[in-house]
Amino acid sequence: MKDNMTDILASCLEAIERGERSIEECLALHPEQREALKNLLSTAMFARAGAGYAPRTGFRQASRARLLKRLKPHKPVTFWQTLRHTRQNNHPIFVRRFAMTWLVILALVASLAGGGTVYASGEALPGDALYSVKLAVEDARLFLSDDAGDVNLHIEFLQTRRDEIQTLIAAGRGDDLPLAMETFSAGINEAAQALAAVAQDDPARAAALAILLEQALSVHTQVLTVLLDIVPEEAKTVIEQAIIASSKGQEIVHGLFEDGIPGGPPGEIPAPPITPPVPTGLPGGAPPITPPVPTGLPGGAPPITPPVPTGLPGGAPSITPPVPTGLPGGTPSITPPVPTGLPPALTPRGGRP
Amino acid sequence: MILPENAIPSDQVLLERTIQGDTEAFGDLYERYLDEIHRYVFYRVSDRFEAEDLTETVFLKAWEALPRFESSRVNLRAWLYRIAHNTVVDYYRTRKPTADSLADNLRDSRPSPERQAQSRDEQQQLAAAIRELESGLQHVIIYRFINGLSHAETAQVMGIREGYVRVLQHRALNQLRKRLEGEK
Repeated sequence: MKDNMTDILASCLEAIERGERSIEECLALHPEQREALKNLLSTAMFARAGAGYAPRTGFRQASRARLLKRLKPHKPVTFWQTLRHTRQNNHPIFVRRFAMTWLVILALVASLAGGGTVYASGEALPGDALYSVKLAVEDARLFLSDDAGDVNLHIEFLQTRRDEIQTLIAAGRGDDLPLAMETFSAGINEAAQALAAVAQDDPARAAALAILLEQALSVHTQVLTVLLDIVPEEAKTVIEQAIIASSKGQEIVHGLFEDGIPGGPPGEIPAPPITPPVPTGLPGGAPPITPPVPTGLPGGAPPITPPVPTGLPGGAPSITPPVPTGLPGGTPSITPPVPTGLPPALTPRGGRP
Repeated sequence: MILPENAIPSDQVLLERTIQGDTEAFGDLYERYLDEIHRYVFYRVSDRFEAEDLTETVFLKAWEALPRFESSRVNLRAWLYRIAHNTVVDYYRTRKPTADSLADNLRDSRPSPERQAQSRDEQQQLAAAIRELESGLQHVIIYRFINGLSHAETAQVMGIREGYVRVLQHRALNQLRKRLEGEK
């Protein structure tokens, strides 16, 4: 009934906006929902009165000239901007070149670490045999860091979780998406818990970390929202759950500092409902890993990989900027050498699915 | 094709001229989108003067980012709203909100004293109620009812499905009604 009301309301509003029906005519068409519909429509009409608000006449007259005076000539596009722009467009040459660069870096790190299994697990996806090793490595890093470090790590891991979701979609591995979503959701809860822990000891630091986390979650929400439009129908429920988890996470983080008195345990993101497995062999072929998101936003940054944090000029981020990891210098974090065969103390902490 | 002299240039034409450095063309775009961006900012910050400053900031950022703007892939309005949203987020991050000064801020540019007072009260009440909503619901109310965007336009600007806009709209109106009733 509620869904029905959503559609009735939308169609009534559209008819009223087009001047095809009056409120009374709409109500007459839906006698059973009359009272509820009347309340909603009258609220909508009240909100429309807000359109009467306009800038002051003086402001309107003066602001154009003032604005034009402040405009600086556009700087010529630099090599790096061109490179970034090209990468946003997925030019195959640059995609391959960057992928190769990162492969070489990862190979070097892995050989230095001497942990073949650990290295191999880095690419593991939910559902892979080595995925639990990958999570164990992450938990080991969490174990070795302090609370504030945990928040930074969680931010980084959330980026990984989102990348995994995108990769699974691209690979048509719908069966593994629920697990990916569950891990993503759990990661948000863990990040919020870690932030609350920092807030108890160091409110100022927690506030700074909250900004990073909120920014990261905002980016995830945006990217997932874009993904929602390009994934096959069967995968939409899972993506919607991830969006809800990410949005809810933002609210929780925001709520922690709303009163200026950080502290207290954050709210829990509701556990995702058990959903039927998404069929594999998603129709329509694998969508591109990088969704066709708007580019050219201020602070536009490369999509997906590698996560190279950049300053977001004026705070106007692109849709797919890298998630800030809080690491100085904007260099991507590299998994420290962690031996295989983790001791019991380093096994995953609670909260992992 | 020769356009008549008084033909209104499209966004695309103005954009192309702007990207080439034509500041007057940018000024025309500014005037075209000033009202809705200003309203958007005002209903997010509830302060007329802050909204004026922030609106100018939005367009300055837009100018700076224009060389990277891809008009073939991105809708100009959606892009401006996104910059406006980020500007408002920055505003709240960099300064603590002060007590609302709506009454002072809504003082001028009204037709008659009676209508002005009524309108001011309604806008004050509305702005306060909107600010109590969740961010997503705030956006739906502002886009759909205050700035008069259609479901499809709202979906495009918010980057979500049209069906989801309808769901949020239903939820937003329910919540807004509760907030407004709570104020009475």
